[in-house]
Amino acid sequence: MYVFKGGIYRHDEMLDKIHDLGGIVMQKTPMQTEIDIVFALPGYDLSTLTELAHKIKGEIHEIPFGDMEIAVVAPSLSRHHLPHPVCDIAEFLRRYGATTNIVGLARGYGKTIFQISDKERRMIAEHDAAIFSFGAFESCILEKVKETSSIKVPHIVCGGPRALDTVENYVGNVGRKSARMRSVEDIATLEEIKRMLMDETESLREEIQKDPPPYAPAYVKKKIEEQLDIRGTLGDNPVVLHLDGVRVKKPYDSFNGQVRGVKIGDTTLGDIAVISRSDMNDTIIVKLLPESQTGGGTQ
Amino acid sequence: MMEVEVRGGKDDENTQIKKLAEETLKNLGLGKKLKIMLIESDIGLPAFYVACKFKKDVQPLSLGSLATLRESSKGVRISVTHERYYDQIYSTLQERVGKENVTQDERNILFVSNAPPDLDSITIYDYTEEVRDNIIDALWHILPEGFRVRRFKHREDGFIVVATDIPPMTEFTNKVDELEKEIWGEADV
Repeated sequence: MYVFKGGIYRHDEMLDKIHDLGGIVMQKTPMQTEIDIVFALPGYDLSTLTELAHKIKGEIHEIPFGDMEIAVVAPSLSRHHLPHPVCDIAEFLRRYGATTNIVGLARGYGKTIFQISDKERRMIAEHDAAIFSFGAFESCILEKVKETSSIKVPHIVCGGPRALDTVENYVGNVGRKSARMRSVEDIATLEEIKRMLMDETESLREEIQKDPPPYAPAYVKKKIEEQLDIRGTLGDNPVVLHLDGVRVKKPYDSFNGQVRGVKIGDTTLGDIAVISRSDMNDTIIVKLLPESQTGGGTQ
Repeated sequence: MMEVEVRGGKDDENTQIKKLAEETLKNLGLGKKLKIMLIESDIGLPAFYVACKFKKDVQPLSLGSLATLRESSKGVRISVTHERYYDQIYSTLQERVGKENVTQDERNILFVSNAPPDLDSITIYDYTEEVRDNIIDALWHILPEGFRVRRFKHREDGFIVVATDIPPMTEFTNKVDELEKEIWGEADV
């Protein structure tokens, strides 16, 4: 996944080139005289695009989380945790292509009363990865980490103490903040979160690559948008990529039949994916089945 | 300059809470109102004890400090210098000396007839309470969110608060007395 950052002027040349090379445009975000184009393309075709980007005074960057939806979990949605540091983490990950959702736990604060409910667990499990932002005290974090051990998706725990010996997936120096994370030290911490998240999700990507779904999620997204004529606004992406599927942000009861009927190659989406109701805002989760269960595909 | 001291936790934890407290108080314009803020954590229980002592200039505001008083033919002429307290001055004087004895000559000029001799020392506004409320509000930003069982012990120039998420215990009372002795020199009975 890559993003083109450049001017509006002649950006249509870039779009044509991406289409010519067989790439898929995920999102176009114009901002006055600038535009961001997120697209998927095989790496070996990139040099041609880079030449064109250079010619029209733009830049192309790789976005490692472009095909991921990440949950940033705060102990609550109160002023103690938002906007700093939880929104800072989410904003930083969005720079690298991630779609982020902030999940505020109902009882995520306090040492003795902390808990993650079943519904919250299911909501977090719908994402490709999760980042938990806990407080400043080591003994509280250690109590809370016990609850996160049952979360199956790759996850990272953030907190105040610089290091915790007993927690492997831990990034320190986050904790509680009263101002935006923009100092050199804070940026290094955010980079550490990004690096650890990439490490944590690497094994999941490898696992999916061993037995991939017959069609890439980016291709499925394109087909859903084309056939259901779903268009989002500039701030909203109606079909969000996951590593092994997509989330369609439409009501389940009204749209699940249409989503199942989307034609992909010589089959329908309902035959190659498990389609279920999401616990988050009644959206639709499409989880693509691996080739070993569907008999292969062409993309 | 305000002094914030945090103790009881590990160095990392204390440093982070201290920074958070200093920045929060500064952002809310309360840095110059406090002489000392002492935060002691006992995360094993868990409980937080916070003792705050205001600066000496945080005290109830008298009429003399908010206006210039001068004798005149129509009574005492009061020229209000702090417009923020104008309505409090007007209503307090009406209560104390009677409505008929207070007249408004210009926007910020009042005349008081039959004025009592201690007119300039009348308390117009309890500034201490405003500062107390604002600091308590700032404390809810600073202390961890889960510590919602809160008990106060107020003094004239400050207070001590215990915040926890368990029912009150005798340890809390002992600790509060200890902190009070440390900051004020003796426990208020």
